[in-house]
Amino acid sequence: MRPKNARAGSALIEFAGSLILLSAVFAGVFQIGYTFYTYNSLINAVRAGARYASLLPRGAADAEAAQAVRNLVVYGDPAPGPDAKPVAPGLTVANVELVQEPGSSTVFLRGFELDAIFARLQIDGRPTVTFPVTQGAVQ
Amino acid sequence: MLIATCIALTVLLALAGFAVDIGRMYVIKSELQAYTDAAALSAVLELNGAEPGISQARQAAKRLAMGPNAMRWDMGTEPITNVTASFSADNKTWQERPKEAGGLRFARIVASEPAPVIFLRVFQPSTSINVAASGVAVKSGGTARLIQ
Repeated sequence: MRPKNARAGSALIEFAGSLILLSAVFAGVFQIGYTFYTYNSLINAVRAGARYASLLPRGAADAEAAQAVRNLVVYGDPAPGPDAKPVAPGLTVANVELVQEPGSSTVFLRGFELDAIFARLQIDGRPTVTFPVTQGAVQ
Repeated sequence: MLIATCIALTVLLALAGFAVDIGRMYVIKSELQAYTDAAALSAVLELNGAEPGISQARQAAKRLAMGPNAMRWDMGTEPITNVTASFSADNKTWQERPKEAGGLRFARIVASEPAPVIFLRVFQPSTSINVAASGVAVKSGGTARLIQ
C-alpha cells in the first residue's frame, strides 16, 4: 500500500533542481539589469560633469576647477559634504578624466570596475561626453 | 501543475527578458540624449547668419561623434552615425536645408539608432527597435543654451 503523500518527496527534488536553474537565470538578470542601471547613472553623471566643465571660465584656477568637476561627477556636487555618497559604489574622483580644450570640455571615466556582484564590468574610456564651451546659464 | 508551471515560467522569463532589452534601451536613450544636447549646442554656436555657418553647424554636431573621445552608444561601443540636424529662426518651422541663413537662431539635433533586442523579438519581427533622442539649443547674444 502506497502512503498518501508519496509525491511530496519528488516535488521537493524537482523544486531543488529547478531552483538551481531559476536562481542562475535571476542572477543573470540581476547582473545585467544592475549593470544597465549603474551605467545609466554614470552617463548622466558624466554628462553633468562635462556640462559643468564647459561653463567654467578658461585658464583660471585649473586644478581647483578640475577637482570641482570630478566631485560633481562622483558625488553630484562640486563641493560635497563629508558624508557624500558616490553615484556608483566604488567610484572615486581618480576615475574621472577631464580634458579641457579651448573650445570644449570632455569628461570620461578611466579604470573603474562596475561591480554587479555576479560579474564585474571594466569601464575604461566610457561613457564619454563632450560639451562645447558656452558662457551663461547652467542647464 | 505542469500547465501552471509552464505558464508561470513563460511569464517569468518574459519579464526577465524585458528587463534586459528595455534596460539596454534606456542606456542607449541616455547616451543619445547626452550627445544630442552637446551637438545642438555645438551646432547653434556655429550659426553666423551666413550660408557657410549652416554646414559648419552640421559638421560641429558630427565632430562630437568622431575622434578618440567620440561619444558613442550601446554602452559606449558603437559610433553614433544616424544624425539629423535642422534649423529654425522661430523654434516653430524647422528646415534641414534652410535656404535663408539670416536669422537662424535655433538648432535641433536628432540622433536615432537601432537598439538590438533579444527577448522583445517575440512580439515584433525586427531584431532591433529604434531609440531616438533630440536636443534643441538657441543662440542668444554671444552664447547658447539648451531649451526643451
